[in-house]
This record gives sequence, structure tokens and C-alpha cells, in this order.
Amino acid sequence: MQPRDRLFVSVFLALTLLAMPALVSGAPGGSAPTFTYARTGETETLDPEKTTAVASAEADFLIYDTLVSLDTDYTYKPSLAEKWVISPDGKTYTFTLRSGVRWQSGKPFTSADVKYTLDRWRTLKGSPSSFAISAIDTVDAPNPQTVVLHLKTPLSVLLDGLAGPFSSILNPDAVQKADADYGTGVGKVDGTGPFILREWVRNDRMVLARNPDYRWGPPVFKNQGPAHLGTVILKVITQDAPRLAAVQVGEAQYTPSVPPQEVDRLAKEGTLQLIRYQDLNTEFIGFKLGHKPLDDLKVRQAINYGINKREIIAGAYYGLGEPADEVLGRSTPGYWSGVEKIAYDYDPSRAKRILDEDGWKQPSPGAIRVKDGKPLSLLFLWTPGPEANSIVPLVQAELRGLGIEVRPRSLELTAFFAALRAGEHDIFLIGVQYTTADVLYFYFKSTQRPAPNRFDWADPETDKYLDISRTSTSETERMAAYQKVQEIIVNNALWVPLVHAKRVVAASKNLVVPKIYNANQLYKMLDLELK
Amino acid sequence: MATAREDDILIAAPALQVVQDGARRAGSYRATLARRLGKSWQIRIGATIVSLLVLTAALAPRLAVTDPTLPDVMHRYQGPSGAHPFGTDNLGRDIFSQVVYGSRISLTIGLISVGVAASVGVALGVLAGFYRRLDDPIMRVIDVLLAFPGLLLAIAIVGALGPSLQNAMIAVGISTIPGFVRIVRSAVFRVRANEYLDAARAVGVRDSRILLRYILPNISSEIIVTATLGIAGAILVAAALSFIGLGAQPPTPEWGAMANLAKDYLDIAPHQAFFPIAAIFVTILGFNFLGDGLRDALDPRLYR
Amino acid sequence: MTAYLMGRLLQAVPVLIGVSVLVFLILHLTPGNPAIVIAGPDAPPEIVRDIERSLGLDQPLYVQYAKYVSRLVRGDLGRSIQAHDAVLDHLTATFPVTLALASVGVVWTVLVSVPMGILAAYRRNSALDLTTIFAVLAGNAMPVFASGLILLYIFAIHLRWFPLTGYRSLATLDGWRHIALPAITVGTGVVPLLTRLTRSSMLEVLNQDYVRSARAKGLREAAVIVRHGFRNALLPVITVIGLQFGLLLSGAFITESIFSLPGMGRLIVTAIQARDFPVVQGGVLLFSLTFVAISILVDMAYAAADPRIRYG
Repeated sequence: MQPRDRLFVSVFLALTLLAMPALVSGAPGGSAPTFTYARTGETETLDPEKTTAVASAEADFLIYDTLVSLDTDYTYKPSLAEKWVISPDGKTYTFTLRSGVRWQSGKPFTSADVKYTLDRWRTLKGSPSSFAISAIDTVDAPNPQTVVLHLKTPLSVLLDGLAGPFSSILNPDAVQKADADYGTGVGKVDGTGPFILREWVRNDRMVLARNPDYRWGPPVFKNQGPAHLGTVILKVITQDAPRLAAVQVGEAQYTPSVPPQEVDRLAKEGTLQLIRYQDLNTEFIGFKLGHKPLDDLKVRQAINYGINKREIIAGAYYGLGEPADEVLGRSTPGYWSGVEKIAYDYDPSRAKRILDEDGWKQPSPGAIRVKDGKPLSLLFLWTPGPEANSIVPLVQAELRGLGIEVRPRSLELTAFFAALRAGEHDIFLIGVQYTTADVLYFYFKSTQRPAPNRFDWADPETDKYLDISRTSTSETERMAAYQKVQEIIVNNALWVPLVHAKRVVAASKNLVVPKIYNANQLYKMLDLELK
Repeated sequence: MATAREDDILIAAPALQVVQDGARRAGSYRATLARRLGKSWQIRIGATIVSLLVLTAALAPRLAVTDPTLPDVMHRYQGPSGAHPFGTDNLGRDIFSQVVYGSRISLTIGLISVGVAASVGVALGVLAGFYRRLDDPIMRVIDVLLAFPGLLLAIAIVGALGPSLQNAMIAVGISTIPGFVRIVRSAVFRVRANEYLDAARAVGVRDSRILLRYILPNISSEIIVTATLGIAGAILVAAALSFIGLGAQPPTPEWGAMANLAKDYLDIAPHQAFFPIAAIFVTILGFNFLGDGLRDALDPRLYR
Repeated sequence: MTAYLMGRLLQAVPVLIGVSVLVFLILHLTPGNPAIVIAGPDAPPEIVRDIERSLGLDQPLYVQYAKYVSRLVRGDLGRSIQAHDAVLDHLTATFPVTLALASVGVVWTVLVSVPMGILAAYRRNSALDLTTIFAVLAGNAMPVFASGLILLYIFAIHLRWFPLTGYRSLATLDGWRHIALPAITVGTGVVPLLTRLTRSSMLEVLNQDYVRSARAKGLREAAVIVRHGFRNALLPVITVIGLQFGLLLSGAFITESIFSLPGMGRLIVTAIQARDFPVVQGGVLLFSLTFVAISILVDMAYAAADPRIRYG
């Protein structure tokens, strides 16, 4: 054979390689308005009981429905359950289900589906959320329209759990048919929600089509269904700049997070709608009390006095946030206004004085403080992110000014949580988003150690009040218990609450966005319209 | 007796080296080399850049305008000026001072990871080239390492050890080993073919002595060239690791990590990304010039 | 030739076994337990232990490896810890993207570097040659992430000539618009090397006797260059293209995250960060397999291009 022919063989080979990706299906079509949502991360799985990833919630709300829905004022409204009755002892919940609801596959929805979903969830090995409903003892479905939950102990936050994305109601037939593959792709998902999964290219896009039969939207929307939008494309763009640019050039119409440093520029340009909202969130630095010298209240208090929250809000949040006195924001039910009087205001000279009096001496001006031969040096665990990248150097510089050495060590998310669980940290930076004051139980109940109670806080009094907050059927008693816990936490300076951040989303001008449903953002997208 | 014979061969060895190098007289070899080194414009530019870099690293505390980690939120995003030659970043930190301190980090990365790779790689390469029975097992292991595209191996190792500057150095070092082994091994093959080694063996010179006195000096030019170019490669890979968050962690002023931070502010403050990237660029350019120039000067036949 | 191919394939087996052991070890010595990934960061310790048991993570390392290999032999790469579906599905979905990226990158690299190298060699010491040398040096010193960012900002964000992110089938024009910037990005690291190599091997060839004699015979310059020079200079170039394919695959790690491409590089990086061991193992294995396969292909292309090489 001539060399030339052989060369053509290799050229042919290269061309075949090039053509191979062509076998993958092309772009989706659709005549009704197509809405592209530029998201920050990919859904892990569409089996809601197997993930707590924030990104998974975006798609879960579209494909599935929950028993109850969460309104913007943090009250619970009907959804698949038309109404519910709670027994006086708080241990029995009786839900009456809506009639006329159908699965996307066509089968009518009944109470047996709810019972199946909750029973599966409670017993599912490896469900990261199943312990949230561990209070449920049995689930009964006495007739197709009724579901009864019997609890072991009263659980004041049960409805909150049932409104979450992980409580989406599943179709038993679909789950059993797909088995372990449930929720991993088209044809392996069934819901009662307003949108149907049509295509899913992982890490690129998820295409959902309107469910034309949907008529049972929760009353938190003006439109109960079907949705105005014909097709929703959830497009993953992990980098901030291209994601924002995608909305600007019209490749997408909405992005759920605008980096704070871009807000001013976008507002000036005026080409996009910027929608600001305040959900319940707190960014904080936690102390591990089991590590010396953080067992010393004086040191914790000094650090609290020594951190300038306003500078952090200016530096890392570009002014988009409020200084936090404690974990609960002012609008959270259960917030105690007395916190303002005992909170630690920025006062570096007081911080220095406390440390001096406590025996932490600076060998020379500007040096690290020492007591009993030990330097005041703290290992600071954190995970990178746009805000954290700025908070850490600010805190480091601030504390160095007090004579405290901070040794930051950043870890990516998984390793970060593993290290916290192993208790490697002296202090750590974390943010929390929540819907009720039960976040206090989450962090400070002694049984929540080693995580999420990463503070080593084990205090019988705190435990007593937290138990009341969950099991008491008297709302007044519960709120009083929350207030008591807040007082204990602030007095003991268990953490440095930094900021309640304001969120900003960007939408193209032709998108009608009547409401942002707090952390759930667009929620079921029923009222969205493209002009 | 044995000592005397060894010395005979020692005298003979440089002569053989010269024969390899084009049959010049032994005395003029060094002069030729020096002339070639001095004449090469690549070496001159490369050496200038590298020495400036070393100077910068050594004098970092004196050159820095301010403490590179000191934030000043009121004066963020400032363009280059007299007070801040490279401007300030998103927290108002002085970029010039960060770049200056970053030179220490990049040089350390380059030297340590190449140091690790060279010591392990040269040892393995020499063993593989010198002892036939070790050649096969060593090259099998190297084949396995070579089956990973370089960055993938580094990423996997960093994934295992956890992202940090130190681990990035180890990862880059390990992923540079195969290159050293291959080059050193083939260089040893070339040297081994010379008869004087057989002669040395025949008169009972120990293997260790043959390795240290005859083989290593003869392959030193390959090692120096590979190491110089390897430093450039190591700095580049480490910067890439830092850029995807697997290397140096903020607020460490490593250039790749600085560029990673700056990419969020490209619209507002392009200079924040420009200067660290320019620093990487110039550094790599310097080491590449130096390496290429050395290669041409030390052994013209190696020129590719 | 067949025997040679078989031999090469056999040689690849121990390499791949080695790769699987190495990846297995690296991952299992990694701190950060996948059970925590599944259970969620706030799960009670007993749930974490339960999951560890159900994943077999409490067993000795060699038992875990043996189980892994026995499943591998049956073609079972396991299931993703995070997504709960078959690893194979992830690989078949992402592999074409990375392959397309690397292939288009190679074609782009060759289209730019080979003509540039030939012209530079032919017009030695001309302005063109010096420009080429300069471009080669500059390209060599430019980190891939920097060229990616610059291309993204100039051509996608500001000029809007290309789509910002994502991947479409190359059967459509849209697909080529999507792959263009990422492919150029992965290529920038390799163009300098290949240009330089083409230039120097071309220089060598042009000084050979047979080229001189071809000229002496009065053949046209273009014919001399193409028929004699180019074909002979191509041999080392093929080798380097093969070797650089690996570099291009490496570039995929960074390029895919800059341009949000759903390829294997991003799959592996996210899986490493999430401690999704089965995905990392499968991904790295496929990566190495591709790498080894390409080096075999290159050897064969080399043999095909060089009539002097015969395999018995």
C-alpha cells in the first residue's frame, strides 16, 4: 500500500471521532414560550428522598407536589392536602387530600401514594433527610382522600418538613418500576407537579415541558394551573460571570444569584430587572468549646467584640446585608428583641481590655498574645465561595490587630464537613438558611453533637427549653422557650453571628416575576410569564 | 593498586567526553561551553528574568509597598498608581505586594516539586538504565504513571491529600517524575554504550563509583535542562491547580489563586487578574528561555 | 501488523491494572468519607455508620478492591454515590463531549501549527519566522486558564460572537459555535510545541540531499516542499500530536469548567470534590484507556506514514 492511502485512513479516523458526538440527541424544540433558568449547580438526583442539595430543590418543586406549601410569610397553605387537623395533644395529624389530582403518567393520586412515600422515606437507607421525620410512628390511609400521621412525640415543625422539597410525594408504581434507578433520568420519574421531565443532559441542561392537565396549584399562586410557560430549561452555568452574562445576552431569562459586586453596575446599566429579597439566613463564625482556649468565655467574648460586621458587610457583601446579633433574623417567628440589648457591638478596645484582664499578654506591640506560654492562635476552617473569600481575610486582619493569630485552612465542601465532624476546627465559617426558629434546636441541642452542633455545646437548661420548643402544643410556651435559648446562646458567646445577607436575583425585562418565594425563589413557576 | 587504576580511568573519562562532543581538545571544552553559554541570547534573557525573580523573592519584604494581606475596603479596585503600582484588589489589598510575595511561593513550588521529581526520577532513571533487571519493573510503574494525563494525576493526588499548597507541590512533583525517568534512562543507555565503562568494570570499580563518577557527570546536562524546563512546567501546573481551587488557598498570594479570585471581578477590576497572570507569563518565559538556551548550548544534538 | 497490534494491546493490560490499583489506593486513602456525602453533613453518627456498612466501606482495603475488580470484570462500574445511577451512564454521556473537545482541539492545533511551522522553516529568519518564534514562546508561557478566560470575555461576553457555555451536537452549526472557543483554548497550550517541532523537523528535511537534488532537478518549490519536505517532516509531528492528545485531555479539566461543558474533566473534578469514588474510578480508568488507545493508534499511524517501518 502507498503511504498516502494510509494517511487518508488516519484522516478518516479523525473525522469519525469528530462525528461521534453527533449521535447524541440535538437541541429541544417547543412552540409555547420557553423559559431558560441559569442555575448555579446540577441536580444530583430527582429522587427527592436521596438528596438535600439545594440545586435539587429547583427541579423537585416543578416535577412534584408536596402535601402543604410554604407561603412567603412562612405560613403553611394547602397543596396536595386540602386541609388538615392537628389533635390537641399534637400527636395526630389528619390530612384531607384534594380530589381530581392525577400523576403525569395518568393514574389518579390517592392517600396510598402518600403513605407509600412517607413509609419509604422513613426506612430508606442512606436518605440524608429521613431523620427529619423520625418522630412519625405510623402512617394510615383509612380512605383514598385521608391520610393520618401518628407521632411518637409532638413535633411543632412537622408541617415545615412536609413543605420541603424532600417531602415531594412519589408515585409508588414509578418508584418500584425504576427501582434503584428512580429519579436518574427521563422515564424514571413521575410526579403530580406542573412540569414534566423531557430531557436531562447532566451538567448542561434539564428540559421540562408544561403538564397540560395541572389544575391543583397551591393557593400561594394566582394561577392554579396549567403553567403559562410551555417549556422550562434549567441550564447549569457554574461560573458567576458567564451565568450573569447569559441573562444579559438573552441566552437565559433568570438567574437565582447575582454576585453582590455586580449589583451596582447592573442597576446602572438598567438592562435587567434586579429583584432584592430577604430570606432567613445567617452567616456566622462558630467556636469549638472543647478546644482551648475557646473554653474560656472571655476569649469568645473578646472575639465577638473584636469583629467589625459592618466592614465585612461592606467588603464581602457590598452593603447587601444587615449585621447579625444572633442566628434568628428580626422577621423570624420566635425572635427575641431583647437580644439587641445584650448583643456584642463592635468595640476593639474593649476586646483588647478583656484579653489583657484575662491574662493574654502581648510580648511586644503587634505580637501574638500569650498566656501560660501558649499563643492565642486559632485554626479557622472554611470553604471557598465569593463571600467567604472576602470574609476570611477581613476576619484574619481584624483579629491580628487584637493580637490573635488566625490560621485559615480552606477545604472544599465535602472535606470541610468531614473535618468539622471530626472536630478538627477551633473556629469555622458557615452560613445557614432556615424557615423556622427550630434552627436553634438544630445547632444547640446536645444530641446534635458532633454535627450540626459543632460547638460542643451541651447544656441541660438549653436542652430543656429546646425540648419544650418542639413538643409543647402551646404557641406562647414555645416562643418563650426560643427566647430563653437565644439569651443563653448570646450570654455564652457560642459564635459570632456576622450577617443576614440580602439576596439579589436578575431577570430579563420580558419576564413577569410576581413574587420571590424566599429561599424557594420561583417555586413552582405557575405565575411566571414571558412577554 | 586498585586506586591507581581507577585514577587512570578518571583521567581518561573527560577525554572520552570530549570525543563525544566533536573531537576537540580536552582543555578547550570548558572554554567552548562558556562561550556558547554567553553567546546565547536565550540564556541571557532567561537568566536575567530568573535572577530578577530570585531577587524579588529574596527582597520581598523590602519591595512590598504594604502588608499584602492587609485589607482596606475603602480603597478597593484602585487602578495602578504611585502608592499602589499594580493597583488594589477587591478588598483593597495592594496587588504589587501580593505579586511580589507570590514570587516566593512560585519559586518554592518550582524548586521543591522539581527537586522531589528530580531526586526520585534521576534515581529511578539511573537504576533502570544501569541495571537491566530493574529496567522492566521500573518502567512498568512509570508506564502506569504515564497513562494519566499529567494534570489528572496531580488532581487525583491533591484530591486524596486535600487541597493545599504543600500537597500541590507533592502532586506536581510526582506527576513530573515519569519525564525525568525517561530522559535519564535513555541518557544512561547512551553513556553505558561507551567502552570505558566496560573497562572500569573489568578492573573492578564498584557500581556506586561508576554511577557517581562517570554516569552522573555525563548525564548532568540532560538533568539540568529537564529540571529548568520542569520548573516552568511545575509553576504552570501548580497555578492551574490553584485556579480550580485545588492548590494554594486564598488568602495565600499564589498567582494562580489570585487569578482565580480575580476572575469574579474581571468587569470591575481587570488589573486584578492581569498582574498575577503577567507574573506567571514572565516567569515561565524566563525558565523556558533558560532551559532552551542551556539545551542548545550544552548539547547541540539534543536540539529539536 | 495484527500481531503487533495484539502485542501492544496485551502490554496495555498490566498498565490498566496498575492504573486501577493506583486510583483505588489514592481514593481510599483520601480523607472525607463518602458515607457523609450520602447521609448529609448533619446526619447522626449511627446513620453514617449504617451507610458505611451498606457500602462495604468498613471492610479491609484489599477486600474492597477485590470486589471492585470482580464487578469491573463483569462490566459493572458501580453506581454514583451522589446521583445514585450507573457510573457507565455518566461516562457515556460525558465522554463524547471531551472527545469532541480534544479532537476539534487537535484539528485546530494541526491546522494552525503545521502551516505556520512549514512557512517559518521555509522563510527562515524572515519576519514571518521571527513572528512565529515569538508567538510560540508567548503561547508556551500562557496558562490555559488565562487564555480561556480571555477568549470567554472577549468573544463570548463582550463581542457575543460565540455562545457563552454549553455543548451541542457537532452535527449542527450551532454545535461548532459552542465548541469553537473551548477547542481553541485547549489548543493554545499545544500549538507552540507543534509549530516549533514542525519548523525544526522541516528545517532538517530541507537540508537533506534528496531535497537539494529535487531542487536541482528543477522541480517547482511548492512541489519540493509538499512532496519531499512535508511528508518527511510529518513523522515526528504525528508522534507529538499523539502525545499531545493527552495534554489536550488535561486541558479539558480547566477548559470544561471555564466554559461549563458537560464533559469528563468536569465530571471527574466534581466527583473528586464530592468524594464520589465510583465515578472518579470509572472516569480515570476511561481517561487512561483512551490515552493508551491513542498512543497505540499513533504508533500505527506512524507505521502507516513511514514506509521504512515494518512490523513482523
